Amino acid sequence: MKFLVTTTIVFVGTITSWAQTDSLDFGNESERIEIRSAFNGNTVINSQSTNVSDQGQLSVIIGHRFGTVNEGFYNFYGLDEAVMRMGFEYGLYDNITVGIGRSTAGKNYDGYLKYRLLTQTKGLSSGNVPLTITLFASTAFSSQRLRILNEADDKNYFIDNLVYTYQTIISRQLSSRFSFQLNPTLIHKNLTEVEGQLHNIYALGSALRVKLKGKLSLNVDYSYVWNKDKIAVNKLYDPIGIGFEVVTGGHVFKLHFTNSVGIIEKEFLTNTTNNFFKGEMRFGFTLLRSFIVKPKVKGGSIY
Amino acid sequence: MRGRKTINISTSIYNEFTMKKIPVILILILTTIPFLSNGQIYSTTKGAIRLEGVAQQETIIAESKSLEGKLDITTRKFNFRQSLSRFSFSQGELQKKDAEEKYWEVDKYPYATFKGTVINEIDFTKNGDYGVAAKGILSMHGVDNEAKISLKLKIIDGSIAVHATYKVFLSDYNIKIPRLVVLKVSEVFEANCVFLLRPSQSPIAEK
Repeated sequence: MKFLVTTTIVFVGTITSWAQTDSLDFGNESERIEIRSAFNGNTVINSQSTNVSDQGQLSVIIGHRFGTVNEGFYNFYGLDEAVMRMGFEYGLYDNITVGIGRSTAGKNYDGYLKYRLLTQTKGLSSGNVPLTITLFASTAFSSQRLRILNEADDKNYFIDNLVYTYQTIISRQLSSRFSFQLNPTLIHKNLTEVEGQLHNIYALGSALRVKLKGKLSLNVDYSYVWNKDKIAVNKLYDPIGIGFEVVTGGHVFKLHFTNSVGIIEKEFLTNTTNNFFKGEMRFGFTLLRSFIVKPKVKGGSIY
Repeated sequence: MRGRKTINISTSIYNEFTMKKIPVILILILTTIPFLSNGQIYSTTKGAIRLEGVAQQETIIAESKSLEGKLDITTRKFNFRQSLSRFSFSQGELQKKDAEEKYWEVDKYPYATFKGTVINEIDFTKNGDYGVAAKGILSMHGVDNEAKISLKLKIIDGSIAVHATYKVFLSDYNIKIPRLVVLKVSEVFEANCVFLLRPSQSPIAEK
């Protein structure tokens, strides 16, 4: 009898004390963390990335492509000639971004809409979203070509001159160091340059990012174009890019070598005439600066 | 000891039938104790926290509404935890990523915690305004530091509203500011916390 009572007391006592020490501890439950930027900036090198701007974030994007490196010392390895694109991007909502841009190559205007359908998550023991999927649609036209067409025919060719790009961008961050993405692309030209050229061009973009150390990462970007135009004056190549990027709290700097001149899909997927492996690569850089127009967290300031 | 005494008394007064029931009653009483003590735990999972660092060239603000905390009002012991990946920053996603990767190293140290005791002996069930101090270990970025934080409490009908302010020096927690951004990232961040503690009946009901 006494034995029973004592054991009960001891037993219950241990339970009680165990419960008390435990009561202030937190469970080891995992939490859902969204990976909002598998890549840095709106593009990897040429291809669009799955990133979208935050709501109320305005990004100014300046892209530069210089001449080909094999032009030699007289042209200062291509640095004498420069092609640039000035772009602005604004986050309407956390997952919808609009952008506009103007390139010097071909005097192109472009406008685009990006919608993030799915965001990769980590942290949960099960039920994580494995991929980020962003839909991208852009409309672009060359005002240079428009002017030539209009003057030749005395007719407005604006609608005929438009080129549409549709992409589904799929990215996955495998670890904090390594991300990759695929961009299945459709480009539609309302009016081709020469009769008999293709109206629809299919391409598959791919890109990867390897974080090297701290702020520095290595980017590789390659797009395979399925149906390159055979009729084009110059032989067409697939755009390839390789380069480094540095990220700070408000900037993304990208320095790279690529064989494409244009910075928008319409140009680099259908109009790349340089062979990367024959030294016809160009030095280029992209600078992204983000400004918070409508801050979610008020009170911060930069001078 | 208590059990033995009860038996001695009971043998003289009660018959054998009631005596057999005593251990059962004891078990019943003792097993309720853990539940009673759980009733004295006050907790929150949605505490607001705001970090403010004013440097010469930049003011950085970060906010979160996910401070978790538990307070045992009998022992006055508490345990608070903030997930560092759940802050929003004044300069948006790039700044958040910068802070998480280069300063906090969230992958290695996901939480900032504060564990300790309320020094002042106050009755947490009595309505009123109190100014108290809490002492404990503030851990962040893999560094444990002793910290004493003064709190303002307002107790209204069983819920405790808390406001606390504390200055965190980054150097105390082995967070280095690169020389390039020394004018932009403040060495000291002021943390403002506001939260409401409510009694939690059982660990399941908390969520």
